[in-house]
Amino acid sequence: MTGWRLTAAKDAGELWRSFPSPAVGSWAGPEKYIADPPLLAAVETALWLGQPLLVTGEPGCGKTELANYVGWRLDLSRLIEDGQGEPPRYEHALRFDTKTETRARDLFYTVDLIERFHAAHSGGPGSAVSPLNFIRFHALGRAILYARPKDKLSGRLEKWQAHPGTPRRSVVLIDEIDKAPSDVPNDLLMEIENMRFFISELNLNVSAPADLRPILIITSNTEKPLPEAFLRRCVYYHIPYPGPERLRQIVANRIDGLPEDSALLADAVEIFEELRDLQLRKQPATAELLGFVQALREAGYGLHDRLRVSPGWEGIARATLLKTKEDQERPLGPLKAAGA
Amino acid sequence: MSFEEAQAKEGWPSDGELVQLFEGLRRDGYRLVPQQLAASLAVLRRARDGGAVRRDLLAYAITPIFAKSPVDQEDVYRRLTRLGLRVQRLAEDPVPKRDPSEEPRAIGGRIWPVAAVAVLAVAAACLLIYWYWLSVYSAPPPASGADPDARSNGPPPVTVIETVVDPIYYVLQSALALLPLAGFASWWLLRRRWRSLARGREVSEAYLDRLDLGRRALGAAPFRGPEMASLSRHWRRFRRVPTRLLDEERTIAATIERGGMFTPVYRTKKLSPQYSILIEERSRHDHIARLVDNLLDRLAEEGVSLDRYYYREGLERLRGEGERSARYTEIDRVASSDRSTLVIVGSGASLFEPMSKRIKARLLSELGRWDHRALLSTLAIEEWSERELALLDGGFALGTARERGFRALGQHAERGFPKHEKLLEAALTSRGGEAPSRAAAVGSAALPRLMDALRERVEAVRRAKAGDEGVESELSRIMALIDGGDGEGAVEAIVGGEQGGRFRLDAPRLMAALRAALSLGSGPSSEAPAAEPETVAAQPPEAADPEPADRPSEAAEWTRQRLVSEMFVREADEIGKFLFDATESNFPHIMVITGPPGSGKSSVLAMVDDMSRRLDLPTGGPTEFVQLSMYEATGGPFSLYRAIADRLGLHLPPEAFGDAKRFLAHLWQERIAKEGFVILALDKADSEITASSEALFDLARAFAEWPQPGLALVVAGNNEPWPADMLPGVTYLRLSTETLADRLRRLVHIHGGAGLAERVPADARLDEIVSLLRELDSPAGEASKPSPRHGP
Repeated sequence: MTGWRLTAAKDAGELWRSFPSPAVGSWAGPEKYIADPPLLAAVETALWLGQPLLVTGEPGCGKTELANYVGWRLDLSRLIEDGQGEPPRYEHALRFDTKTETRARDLFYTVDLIERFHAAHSGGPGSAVSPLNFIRFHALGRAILYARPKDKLSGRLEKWQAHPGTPRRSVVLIDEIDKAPSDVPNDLLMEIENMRFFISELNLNVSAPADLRPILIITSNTEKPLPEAFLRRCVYYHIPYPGPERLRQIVANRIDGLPEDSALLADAVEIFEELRDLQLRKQPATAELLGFVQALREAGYGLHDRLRVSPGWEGIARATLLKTKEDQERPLGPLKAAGA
Repeated sequence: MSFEEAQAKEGWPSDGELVQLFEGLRRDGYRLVPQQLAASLAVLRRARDGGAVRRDLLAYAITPIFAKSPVDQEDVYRRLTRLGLRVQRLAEDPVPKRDPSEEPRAIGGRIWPVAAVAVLAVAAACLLIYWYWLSVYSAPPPASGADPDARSNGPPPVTVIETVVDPIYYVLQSALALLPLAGFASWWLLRRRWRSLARGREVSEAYLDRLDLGRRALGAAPFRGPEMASLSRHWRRFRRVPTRLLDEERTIAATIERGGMFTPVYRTKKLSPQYSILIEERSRHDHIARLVDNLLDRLAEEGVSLDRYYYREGLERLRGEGERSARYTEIDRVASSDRSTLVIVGSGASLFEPMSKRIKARLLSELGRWDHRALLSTLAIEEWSERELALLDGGFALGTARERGFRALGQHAERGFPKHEKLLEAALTSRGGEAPSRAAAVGSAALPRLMDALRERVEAVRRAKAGDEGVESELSRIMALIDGGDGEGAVEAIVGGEQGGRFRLDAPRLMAALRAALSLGSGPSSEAPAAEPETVAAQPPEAADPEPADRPSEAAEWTRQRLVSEMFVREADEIGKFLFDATESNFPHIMVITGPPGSGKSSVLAMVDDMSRRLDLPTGGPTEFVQLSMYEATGGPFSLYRAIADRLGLHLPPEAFGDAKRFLAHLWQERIAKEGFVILALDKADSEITASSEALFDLARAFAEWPQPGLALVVAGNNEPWPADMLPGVTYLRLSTETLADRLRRLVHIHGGAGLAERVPADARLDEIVSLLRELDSPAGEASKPSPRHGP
């Protein structure tokens, strides 16, 4: 199915109708995640101790996906149906994407103050301007609410976030916490330790029972050092970059119809490893290898094709594996010659 | 055998081994807390007793508790490997691999070739010595007359070989024979020792660190206990600092409260405090610096974020923690964050210019980058002086480098460094009802020095009285009393001896100071000023009061005098320069002291008098200080010159009083030419009487036009007696009551008495300040008496 290609098509009229569904979506899914035993041991340690698991590692090494995997493995996934025509989907982990302007309280809830201000000005009844009506709960706040019996607070959750009915545990992912200002981890110390937060607008403490503490997985790209006090309260695991054999397993597991022992995969991983040895400005990661192999498959390379002696792979490699101008300008000839 | 099978066959590590690992990690700089040890033990027990973790995965379950970075992770894996918890490599290492299990072998491996070479060298040396030292002498050749054919015909002659051997040879040969054995034994012992050290390294990389071994030898480390835990809590407590972000919620509330007028409220944020600590060390073995290190180690263990630097000569070049002395850091690179707190632990001497005694300007600007800076002084409070005042002026908070000082600094930091509390420790700033009085504190602090001085003095007299057995034995008894710490007994014995005329110590000041320090009240020797010679007061103290309880103690009097003189430190500096110039140069020597009533002009004049006598001025003759009020010049210049001449006891001819220049010429000829130094001090110089003003101006102009070394004019008045630019080279000292009160506040803060300092009004006159100082230094009870103008 190559009719959609810009290079092949002559008439652009209905070209978009023949687009394939994005391959990226097919790679995802916790069932396709391969967790190493050390990583699982670290997760288990975090579960025993009731502490957050802080995961670091190169971008694309599977830090974020770990939370979904843990949720899936522990059967803590939630089926989400919003009733607005969207197909139902699973939420394996409650995710909070940290931004540079994130405050610690944002992990639990935010209050739409402007809306409340307007409501107060429009002269509604007293109950209409109650802060409760303007609260929105976020990942960690939701997880704590799910761990408690359904109450007035959980009634404020949106429909797709609705309380499951009976208290339950959740997996929470705080992604890339190093993007947040340095105060955020410090401000979270007590909240994370006690799994409790305070809603100052309602003068209310909300806490999760000890046996249903949310499982917290925090990722960091180590762009900024985290405070000592915060680190002390976390269980830490650095995901090392996988070796070639593990890479082949990961890619074969993610891309349908690609056996682990195929020549194409072996060559792709070999080239990928050699590229990483070149000390590029931006080292390609696993996700980029997946893209590379998927693109090769889409370009028509067979499972038993020897990549080194086939033409045209350099362009795909440059596009998928090299992400800076300087890296792209580096000659890939030596790689090919070495292989040949 | 697979990895899992191999691991399963090995035993589980014990709790003790894990504790050892934990301790090793802490020693090597991991900031671990006991909870982490408890957590790791819990995991180990779950694994060992409950089978919750496979043996081969135990290292992976424990490491996440200790390690907080990829490098730490690899390091902890490595250490766990040494405990028998093998780690199966799943991927490339972020740090270079090093197989620690080979270390003992590696050490041994290095030894073998060395040992072989050593043995060969020893053997070669033996051979050489053997060859050189063995002296074998053959028998002399046969006599020339012997038959040369006898050898062929007869039986072979018996050859007698005589061997002469030096006895040293035997000794040396035996020693050499034993050398390889000794070498082997040494090597074997050394190897054993290295192996044990290598085993020790299993739990700690710093095992070989001599300091660490030293600490172990000490046993329990210092600065332990709950006090330190609470101290560190103060140090690491978060602070709230303002941000530029708007706090919407409070802004809305404030806006509503202000009736709709937009009132922005900004958010604050918590800040984890960071400290940059500069430690003065005189050498690597400076015990104070090492003690401070110990304390800081403890703080760091408790989670306080701090950077440490060391300096020796000056603050311009610093050595970072763990760096060799060859690597230095500039001070401007020290600030890890502009919000960090700078703490200097040392005497503070390096901050000052050695000559001008002012804070080095460059340092002051570089240290200015820290909003919060403190000096924890290693000097005793009694040694604090104007330098500490200058540091307070320079924005430093001051405390002592004791545990109490560190605690006070932490509390100070916790409160956000309040600007009005620059003195950190409560004992410095307030005097509780039960606290010893300042006088007693000064006395007790000076007591050891006084006792030493007394010992020297008694020893000198005993040597002088060596012939007199009775006196000598009495003095020996006094020495024993001094050595036994019985100061009172010694003083009594000395007084008894002096009264009996058996000996004279000739140390009335020393005895008076001792009596004061021992709280013995006035004694027979206390007529003399109560101070040590080097800290003698400017004015003699009042005569002994028949009721000692109603008047300040001698030490208190000394303190008070010192306090007053310390208030004019800057002026004293100027006066000193002025006096030296006046004795040597041909530049006009005129000093004008101005200031409103009560600002201390007369005191400064008195200081000029005092300093002119105390300073070792190069005059070669007596110094005379003539102080007159300008009211004596109401009759014009003649009466003024006449009064001066009368004071000096000069009999000058009438023409000498004709004009100022002629008068000075006569004065110079009579006094100064004979190697003297005359200071004319004229008080009340702003007299509105025209005649006296004219006389003063004439005299000043004569000083300016005819400057002579050894002749100086000091003029004091409420206002400047003439425009500042009218006479060149005049030294002006401008005093003000505000400056005085400000200085006093700082001074009494330093010397204890914050409560009194608060009561010093901005326009306090010097006499009122003196009465406050009297209160400050008076015994308990008198302090509650109100000052003449300001109530308690």
